[in-house]
Amino acid sequence: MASQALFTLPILISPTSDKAAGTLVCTSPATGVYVLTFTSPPDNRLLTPFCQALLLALDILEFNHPHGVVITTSGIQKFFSNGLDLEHASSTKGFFPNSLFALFKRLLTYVKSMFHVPIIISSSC
Amino acid sequence: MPTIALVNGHAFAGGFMLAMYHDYRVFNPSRGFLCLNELDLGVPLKPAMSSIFRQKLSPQVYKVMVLEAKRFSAKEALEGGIVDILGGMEECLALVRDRKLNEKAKTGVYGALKAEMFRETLEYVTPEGYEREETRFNKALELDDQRRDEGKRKVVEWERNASKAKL
Repeated sequence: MASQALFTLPILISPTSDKAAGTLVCTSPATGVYVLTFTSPPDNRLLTPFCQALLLALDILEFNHPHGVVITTSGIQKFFSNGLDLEHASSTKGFFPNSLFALFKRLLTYVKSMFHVPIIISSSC
Repeated sequence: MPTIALVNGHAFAGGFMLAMYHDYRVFNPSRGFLCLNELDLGVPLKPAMSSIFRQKLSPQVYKVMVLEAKRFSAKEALEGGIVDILGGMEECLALVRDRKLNEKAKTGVYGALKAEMFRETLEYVTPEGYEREETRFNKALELDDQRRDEGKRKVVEWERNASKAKL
């Protein structure tokens, strides 16, 4: 899929670091189709920076691009994602409400905006 | 707008949850397993980690997934309705075209419809819902400690009575 990157985000080593452990690349292989490819070796662990990078990418697509469909995938052949790092999850304050579950919530309701919800007054339903 | 997880390899535990929170899943037919292995890890599933599977899958599939920590191959994942189709990027883009998925966001109501479909799970992933469920879980642990103390006392008493009865 040789399409140019719309944007690239770093996946930082830790929430306080400015060094990247991996990348999240957004491409658009067709009109209205956005592909987010995450590559955070060795196995795309769901650490805080990983979740935050995906959240930011979803925001960028919501606010800076025409709406379409979002495909997420991994740049690591063997793994889509190997899940949480339990030590990181338990030792990072707010990991669940602010990162992991925030990401889950975003995906589950993508894109929910009160401004875009039409109010149906008396149509056929 | 619709979200699709193109699961190219293993998706274990939280990785599987991440895929499950998308609207569609496309799974590599020749590489990787889907597995919720918390049973083997000895880690409880938080409400938001279990309800997404309960709300999107059949009770039969949910049971073997959670209580047997079954590793689902591509074929099994498709048969169980865990994934929508098997394939790679090409099949994924065909799915988008066939079902016109890139047009579903047009009317602006897509996210609101999903929020209502999965309102139970949605209640667990909000910060307030998370706090409420953590409090409930900790309270349940306390109550279980009480139950164990009480249960042990009863068993000791039963043993004492049983040995007395023998005499």
